Amino acid sequence: MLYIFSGYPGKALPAGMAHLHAGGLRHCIKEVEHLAELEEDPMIQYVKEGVYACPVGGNEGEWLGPVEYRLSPILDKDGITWKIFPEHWTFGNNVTCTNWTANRETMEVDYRTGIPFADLLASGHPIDMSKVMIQRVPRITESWKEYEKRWFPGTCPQESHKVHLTYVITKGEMEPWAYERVRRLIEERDAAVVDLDRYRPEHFSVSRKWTHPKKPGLDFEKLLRGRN
Amino acid sequence: MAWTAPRTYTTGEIVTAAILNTDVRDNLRYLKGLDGRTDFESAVAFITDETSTLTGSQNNVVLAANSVIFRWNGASTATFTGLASGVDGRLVVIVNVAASNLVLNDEDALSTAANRFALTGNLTLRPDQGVMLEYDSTSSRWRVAASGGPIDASDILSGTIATARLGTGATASNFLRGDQTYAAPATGAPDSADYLVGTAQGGLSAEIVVGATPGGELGGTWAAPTVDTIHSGSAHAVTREGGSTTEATTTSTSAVDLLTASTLTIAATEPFIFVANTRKSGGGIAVCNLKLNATVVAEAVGSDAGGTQALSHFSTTNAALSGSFFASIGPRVTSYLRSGASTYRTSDTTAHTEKSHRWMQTADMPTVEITDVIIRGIGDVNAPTVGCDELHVYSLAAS
Repeated sequence: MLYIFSGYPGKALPAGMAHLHAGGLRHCIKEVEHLAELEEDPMIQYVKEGVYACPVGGNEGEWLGPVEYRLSPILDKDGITWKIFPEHWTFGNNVTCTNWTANRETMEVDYRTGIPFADLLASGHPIDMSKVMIQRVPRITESWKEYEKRWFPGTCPQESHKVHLTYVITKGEMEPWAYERVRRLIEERDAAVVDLDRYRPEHFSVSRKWTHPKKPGLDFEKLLRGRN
Repeated sequence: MAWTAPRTYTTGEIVTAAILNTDVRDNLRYLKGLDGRTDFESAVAFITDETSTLTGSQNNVVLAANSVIFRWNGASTATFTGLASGVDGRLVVIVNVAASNLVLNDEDALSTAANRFALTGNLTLRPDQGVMLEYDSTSSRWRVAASGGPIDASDILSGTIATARLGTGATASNFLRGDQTYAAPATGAPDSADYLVGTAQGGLSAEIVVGATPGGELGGTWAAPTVDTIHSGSAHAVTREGGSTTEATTTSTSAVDLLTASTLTIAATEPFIFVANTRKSGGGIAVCNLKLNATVVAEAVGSDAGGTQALSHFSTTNAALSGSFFASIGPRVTSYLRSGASTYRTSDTTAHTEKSHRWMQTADMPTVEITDVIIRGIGDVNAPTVGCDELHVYSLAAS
């Protein structure tokens, strides 16, 4: 049974805080709180098209049956449905905290004509730069269009973004209380880890915020006021 | 009386009073100018009868009584403070034929008052220059009737030639413009120019402030400038297509799509590279594989325990290891569809290291635009946690 949750344990924590990674969550489910029997058979691989008995370390061997899955309610709210996974998307087995990024490309165009600035330069004609107004606009690529189709209509963020998901694959269906406990551990910030002494440091990752290079110090207010 | 042509007398001719009055008296009156203007019908020449070689300071210089042209030919500079022999209306032309300067001092008390020069300042006659002086008995001074010769601008600057102020508008802080008006130099910078500055400047009116550390490149236009963190104005050799800066982890014992950079636009003919960090937290073998779009192109399969077909490979060493891999993918063109390779290195605190090169031969790479670079992860039955982070994908210009 494939369970898909939104985010990963500790996603909302500030930088520097320790949180469970996939190995820590596995330890919690299997060894500490005994919440479910995880699917750990190396032959078993969950793929969108079904469950496969694959060669060790391989991919999509014998088809064993369709995937039974359950998406967390919060995913539905975000517009993430089963359709968001493309063909041959692989969930593996056991526990996985995965993420993907979608980059919204931009380009600079001449505000008046809509001609891409790069095309203007490539034309080889002299350009009076004082008469060109540049606007940065989204560049809708074919890959973005295809990506957007995977979301529930109208829910795909119209900017670069990340999607964090956690897969938990069990041998059978989890008990409701166990499911709720796992869901809270992953999706709710205040869900505390119990019996902390039964964990080791290698069960945790440290939250980290990636710092983007400093933005330029343009005085936009002054620019908006115009000249003189 | 007007001029009468002189008479030619003949022998034995009787000369009357009338004849003499007309021919002699009236013509002499004409020549002296007693009856009006005197016209000379030929050039007038004065005999040069005096050449002076005086040098140094000379007072009350005596002119010969018949001297009109006064030649000065001193061997060195001379300074005259006055001329004697002045009578009302007397003209004297002083010419400098020497190689040195002759200076006529203005109102110099070294000469008697009646012999002094009344000038606007000391007058220097350079070689080949001259001056005509006239004696004015009313003021008892020699005065300039005419002067000639070019003016040396350096004499103005040095004060040798005295100059009057250039009108009432002249001050120490303004200048005479080409349109003959006085103007003060403009203060501050022109306000019609574009200035790129680090911090705002009070003397500028529309400067573009980019901060002390702009941290980017200048883009856009002067009307709407930008400081871009990413190069965007023109084509460039390396473009960051995408990536992920959040860790993904798994304990899966079969391959799983772990970390994905999607919505990429890497054309089939574009080479690209990518880097990422990997780790495992103890346990057994941990491997990272590669999937492009929906095709798994690098994956350790079956007996390939060494993971020679994977991106990176952690051995059975039960230790927390970390490392990174770098992969290069060539253009996906016919007959070159397995043109991918990676190199990785891992280590831990006990100096255990693994390093190797891997190549991709699980399947041909897709020949279409790459939209998804997916790092897959897998561990063995010892259940290591496989981590992957800081994935960055760059395309390389193909032309």
